[in-house]
Amino acid sequence: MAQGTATRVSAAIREAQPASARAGRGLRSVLFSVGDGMFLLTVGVVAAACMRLVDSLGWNSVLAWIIGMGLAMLLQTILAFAAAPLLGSIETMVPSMVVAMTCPMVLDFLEMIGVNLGWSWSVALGAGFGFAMFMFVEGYGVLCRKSFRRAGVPR
Amino acid sequence: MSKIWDLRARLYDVCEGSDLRRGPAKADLFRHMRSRALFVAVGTGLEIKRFPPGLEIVGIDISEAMLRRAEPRARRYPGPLRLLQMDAAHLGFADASFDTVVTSCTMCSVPYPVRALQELYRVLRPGGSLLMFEHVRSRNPVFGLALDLMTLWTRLSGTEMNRNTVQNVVAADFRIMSIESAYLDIVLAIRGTKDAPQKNHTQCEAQRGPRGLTHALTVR
Repeated sequence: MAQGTATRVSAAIREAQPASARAGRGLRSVLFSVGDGMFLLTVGVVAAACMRLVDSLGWNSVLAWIIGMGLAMLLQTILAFAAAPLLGSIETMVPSMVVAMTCPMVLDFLEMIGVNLGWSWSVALGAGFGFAMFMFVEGYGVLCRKSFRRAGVPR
Repeated sequence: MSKIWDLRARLYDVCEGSDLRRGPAKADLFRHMRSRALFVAVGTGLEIKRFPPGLEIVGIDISEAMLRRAEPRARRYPGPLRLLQMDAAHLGFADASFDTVVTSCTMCSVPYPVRALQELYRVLRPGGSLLMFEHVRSRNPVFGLALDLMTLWTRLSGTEMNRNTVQNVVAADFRIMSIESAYLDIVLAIRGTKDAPQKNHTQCEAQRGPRGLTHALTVR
């Protein structure tokens, strides 16, 4: 008897989806987006600064690229671990890894072809990488949700 | 394998810091749990608070240390919840014992995922529900590459970041009912079912799922 009542209560709880809960989820989603954006911007700036720092040492371009990217990815991993409790582990690690790989690569390539951006423009480019990744993740997220909804009909 | 997880148990709650973000999506999935449910790889019991109350649940894990940490959480669950030490690939339950089988970030960590899923298929009753909250390899080549690179070092601690779990679910004969994105096409809430035996002759057709769902998701 008690078991049956508990099952009915649990079914009622499961079905209840108050508007306040939906609104709360919307706010959560916005806050997580803001967090993702800030985090990726930070990673972009740090990655660019790493590459700029290594480039300023005047080493061979390939060596500078390897060390710069390695340093950027190490710091990105530390930042991702630090942000993971708030933003999620995969959610921080995957896009930031792409930023930490590509941003130093582009900066080093520019250096190789003789385009010296200087510190402030390098950092701005890093922030641009972070922002571009954030926009890509947001857009790709929308596409994924739409494609899953189109493909599957929950029963 | 169990030794790795015994070691990871000490820091599991700290490292598993994605609860804040993924919690609501997990709760949405777990509310489909019914009657007698098997939770595979219960870990330190972080997910127990999201189970609907009043169900009869069996939680298994390969690690004794994880189960020890899960015990206080299991005691707080409002319903019968037993914890057992067991390997997902060798379940000590009779065929068709459960109405629902649930996993949460499990299939990245079992050594032979299809074999484990076949065991889940065996213990699930025909018509029962498979509920999986799993991370998989992204179909996006850039994110896919990032996950491949991450796997180079996460593999050392027993976690593969780039598995095609959707394809594995189909390979184990489950029919996929729906897939929802919790984060891009990487973290997914998957709902499947085990068809009744008489429907097996249409299995190939059924495995394609609604409007080619499985095909769309398993082709990289």
